[in-house]
Amino acid sequence: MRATLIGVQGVELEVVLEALGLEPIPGAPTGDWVDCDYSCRAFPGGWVVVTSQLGLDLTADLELAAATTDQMAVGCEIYSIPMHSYAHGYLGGQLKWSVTHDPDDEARPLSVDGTPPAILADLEAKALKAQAGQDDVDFVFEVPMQLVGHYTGFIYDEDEATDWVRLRATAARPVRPDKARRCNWRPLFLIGLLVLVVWLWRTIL
Amino acid sequence: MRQFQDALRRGADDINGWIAAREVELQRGLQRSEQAVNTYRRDVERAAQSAQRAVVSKAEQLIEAGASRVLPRPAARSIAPPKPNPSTPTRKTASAQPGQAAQDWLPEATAQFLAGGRGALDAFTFGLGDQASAGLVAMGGVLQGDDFGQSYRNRMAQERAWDAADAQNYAAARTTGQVLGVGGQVLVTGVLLGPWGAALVPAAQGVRIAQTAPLILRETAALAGAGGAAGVMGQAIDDVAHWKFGTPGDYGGAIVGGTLGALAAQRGNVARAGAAAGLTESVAQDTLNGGLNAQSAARAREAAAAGATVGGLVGASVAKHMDGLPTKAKEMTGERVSRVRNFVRGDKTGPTKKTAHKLPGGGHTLPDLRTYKNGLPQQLIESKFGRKAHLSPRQTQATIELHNYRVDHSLPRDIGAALGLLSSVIFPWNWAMTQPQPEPGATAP
Repeated sequence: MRATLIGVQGVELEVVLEALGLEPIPGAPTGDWVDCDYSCRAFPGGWVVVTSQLGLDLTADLELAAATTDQMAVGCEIYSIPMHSYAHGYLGGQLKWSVTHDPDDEARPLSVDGTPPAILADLEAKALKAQAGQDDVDFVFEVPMQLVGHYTGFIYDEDEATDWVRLRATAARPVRPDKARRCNWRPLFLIGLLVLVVWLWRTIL
Repeated sequence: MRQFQDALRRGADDINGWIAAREVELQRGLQRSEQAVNTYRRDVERAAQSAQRAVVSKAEQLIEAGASRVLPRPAARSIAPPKPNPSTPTRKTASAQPGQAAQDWLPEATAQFLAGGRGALDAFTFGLGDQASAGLVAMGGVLQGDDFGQSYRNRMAQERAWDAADAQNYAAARTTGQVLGVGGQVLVTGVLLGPWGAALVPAAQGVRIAQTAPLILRETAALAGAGGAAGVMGQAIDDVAHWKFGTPGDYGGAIVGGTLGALAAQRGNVARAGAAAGLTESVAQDTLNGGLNAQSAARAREAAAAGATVGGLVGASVAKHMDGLPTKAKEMTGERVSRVRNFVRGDKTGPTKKTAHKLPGGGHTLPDLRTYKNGLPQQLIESKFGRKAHLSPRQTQATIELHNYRVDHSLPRDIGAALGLLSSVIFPWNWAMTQPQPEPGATAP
């Protein structure tokens, strides 16, 4: 599954939603965070968390949300099928750190840019310790999410709250086409075309 | 005036006489030239015949000398002698003498062994063993001051003479050696295409998660059916390309080859699967079209090599491409593979949106897909795609606590194997083969 969450501290919920182009669905009951395309909920410490399975784009939307506050804004995106996860942290609207887990990068199970919080070292050490001897389990995958959860208090596979507000996109929300989806098969088409041309050439001549 | 005319007439007579005299001289000159040319031609012919005899004699000496250097050959193992007849008086006489039987048996066995070895070498090297041997000998000759081209030609003539003599005198041994050579070729190729080949292409590597659900019988049958269908498609394309109608044997062989290749592709090595498909298809087609013939082994070998090459190259390219996909694309690919599996298994896949499933031991998991049958929920599916994709701790917990939790782990090489095998089966690589293709309906000689 793919999941994106954005947490903003020290700002009203409506301000964050307006920046993201979202609004509550009128009359919709509250529920789990996965019950709707977009959901939001307030957490202790003045944190507002907005989640989505498919709709949020961490890089673009977190930057928009971070611009609404002079305090912290954090975000995390996970792809559980390839087991790729990453998190960003903003302070005062400026990007301060990024943490990425790419399973294909065995040399660096967790790559860090900027100045991450000190808690990251503890989380990473704990994950690597648990990882030892466990080849079929990826503990480091959860570190970016745990780092964001350290601030917001939201852990996607532990949260049992049922008072998440269901949201929908407004007309102001920009449409972000999925570029990767369009060019996935282009090289394969080129290979097939090459094979076809060679075949025709050998057949006709 | 009359005197002047008489003088002219006398002058003309003189000119005619001079011309006649020159013609006579010219005829004599031509005759002498023809005689000289004929003499020269006879000299040249005599010299050529002498040189030819000398070359043949030298070649025979070289062959005998070479044979005696390696191991003593029987007298019958010369270039053109007739096949030794076991019933000849010589053999009977030799066998009748005490201790002579062993002396006859050893050279004969040695000759059989050498004939088999040469056959194996020819098969193992795609028939290039003679050229390689001639090249090495010619290189040695160059070091001793000989002409490279002449040495190469002499050695090639010698190698071909040995091959011809082997085929004539020791056909069984040579055929056995060729079969063993093909077997060795398959083994070596398997190593090159297997562990070594995979080591060269990181995208072709990857270990599936241990908890991955194995293919059920229905999926295996669908895989085999898809392979057979690809074989039929390939044969149909081949028919269109050559503007002919394939025989039932052609299509039957294509089905057998495609099916076996698809089943072999389960292991992920598409080069091996392509080789298996090509070899099986060739042998099956020859068998169904009237029986194996003299070219069957060589044709099967070429088909295997072509299948491995096309399948391997396409499969490796596709695997590399899939391995380098963006994260979002990998996410979608893994989910689509699971949807295909659900379809083949006869299950209906639920909506794309994920929902949480509470785990007995605490926390909850969010499976990628849910399946339904007759409206009833069946399985929770966790899809994985990528060489290094593993389960998260919570997903591992789900595999332990939930009986209906299925893990689908697909690798880039799986997609490469599917498309690579498809390419190798349907690709009309007949143009790359040197062995003659049997005509439709042809029977074995």
